[in-house]
Amino acid sequence: MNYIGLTIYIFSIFLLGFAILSFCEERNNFKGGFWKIIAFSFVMGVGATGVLFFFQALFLELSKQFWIYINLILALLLIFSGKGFLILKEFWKNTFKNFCRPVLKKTNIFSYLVAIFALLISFTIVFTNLFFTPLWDIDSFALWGFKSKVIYLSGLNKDSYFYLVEYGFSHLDYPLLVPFVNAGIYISAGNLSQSLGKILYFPLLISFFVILYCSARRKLNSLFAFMLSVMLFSTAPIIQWGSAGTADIYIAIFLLLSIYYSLNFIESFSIPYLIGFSFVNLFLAFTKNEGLAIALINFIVLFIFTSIMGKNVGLFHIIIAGIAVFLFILPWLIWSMDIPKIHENYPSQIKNIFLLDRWKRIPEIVSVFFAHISNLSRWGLFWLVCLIGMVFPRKNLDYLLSIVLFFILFLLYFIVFMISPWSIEYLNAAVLERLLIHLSIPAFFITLDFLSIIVKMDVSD
Amino acid sequence: MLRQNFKIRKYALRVFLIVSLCINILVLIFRFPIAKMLKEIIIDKNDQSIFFITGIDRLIQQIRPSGNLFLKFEGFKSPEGQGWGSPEDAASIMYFRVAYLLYPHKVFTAPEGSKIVRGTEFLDLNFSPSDDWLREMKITNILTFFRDEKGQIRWDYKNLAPDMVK
Repeated sequence: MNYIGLTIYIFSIFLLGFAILSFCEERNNFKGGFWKIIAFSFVMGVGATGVLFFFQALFLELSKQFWIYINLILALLLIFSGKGFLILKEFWKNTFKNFCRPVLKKTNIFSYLVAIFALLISFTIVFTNLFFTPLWDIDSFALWGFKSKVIYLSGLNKDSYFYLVEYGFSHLDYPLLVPFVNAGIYISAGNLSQSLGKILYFPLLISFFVILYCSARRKLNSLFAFMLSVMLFSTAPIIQWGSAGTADIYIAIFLLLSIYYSLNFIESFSIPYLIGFSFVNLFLAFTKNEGLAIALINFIVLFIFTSIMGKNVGLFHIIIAGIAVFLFILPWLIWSMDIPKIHENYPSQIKNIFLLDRWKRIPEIVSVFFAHISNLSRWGLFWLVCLIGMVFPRKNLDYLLSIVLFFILFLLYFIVFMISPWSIEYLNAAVLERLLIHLSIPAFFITLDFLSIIVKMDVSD
Repeated sequence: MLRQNFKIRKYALRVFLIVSLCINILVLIFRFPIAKMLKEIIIDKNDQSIFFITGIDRLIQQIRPSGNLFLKFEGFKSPEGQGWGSPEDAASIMYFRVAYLLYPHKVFTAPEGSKIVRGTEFLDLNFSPSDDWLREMKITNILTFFRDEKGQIRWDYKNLAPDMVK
């Protein structure tokens, strides 16, 4: 196995992500230290790598090895032409300042110990599942592992895979961000080992936790922010699906960053946050079919909130950003247009909503949703506290934006359950928990806002 | 008074978060199927819980098909139909796994162009390929899984004679 190639690839992901991050943060108001830069860079880098690889495979007739070098060159160009060095300066100034210096009072130590213990157990399970088992989850090998192998061996050759309805089980028409990123591992390592296809999930999950923490720090002190982040991160569905080798954790992370940038943009109307928002929504659209719908919803919600705030300049910028993202998605939409859509072609099934028997599904759908969120052995107390947080209406941005996003996404998934050709029993067993992972992100912000009101927005240490 | 009220709320919140985290810890240690499975696989060296996966991996490693493969399933239709843990479900997992492992070689279970979504459509088709068809599809191997009434699964592998494949 080519360890040097693998190291260069992972380094290129960080570097590209860092280059993009340098355009998404305010230079003079950069909050965050070492861990924030590493986590944000990695997530941005993973997304950008997947999209760039797709464009290179589509437009350039290059050997796959070159994909990684082009990523590196582009990252360096972006850093030299952008604000990368300035961010780097801030980074050295702030290193370890915000994340690694929690105030340890005697009364806090026990709380920290419990949270650290939960985090350690979570990462132990994640680590062993990622590095000591093959791809065993059905979706991990029948969908994402399969597609990664296809990209590595056949690239975008449609006759080798994308037209073969015999492989319809693997969702031929799904966007290819995750398969391209995983194929990068195979290309750089020169090896098609199953467990290699999962190694990126480990830094991705660390990044997920750090971004949860950074988001929580907007409104809570370091102790409560840490505990709340661990509370969501250590739930069974996040641990299970985060380390399974599927794309749902990517959707959750991009959605988390999308809300993070939305809130920052609406508060400051600063363009770098809109750039960050646009990037993560582009990545969402390239991750899964529902990612495209989520990205569209994010843009509409941001537009509505900005117009309520009466910032017409902001509206203009959002429209420009939306058009830019659409132009980037367009090649994928055109390229994938003739791929058979034989699995869940929801737009063509929307007419099912007029069937009476689909409306009879509503009580069953409500009951399976509640059965999931009230399941202590899966979600702990996370949804309970979130539901309590929802029922106290308040007029602050974090709450309003999160609850609007939550209900629109909930409605989207509810409609999907109504129009789907599959039975509720099947959907409940196969997909509901993963959809709840997506919903848990706006729910996290609702909970965060609720807790911050309880402790009166104490962000001090 | 206000200050004391504020302190009480902070204290209550901390207690609530500790309780939540303790529930998560207990779940992960005692009630999380993945943790139990990982313990079995890594510590007890017993891969029974993912046997359908590792068993197929070992079988493919053993037979090493050299080209396209025809996969047959016998005895996998149950009166109850497909559901979690049913024989149909097992057939679909086996097909998905073999298709994943053998790519870029193609794995056929039905006539070309048959849509396979749930992974069991081929059980209804019950397709028996002719020699001409096997030749046309450049199939060099046939792997058959048999399931008896007790639920035991056996397999039979046939490497087609070189003269049959052009």
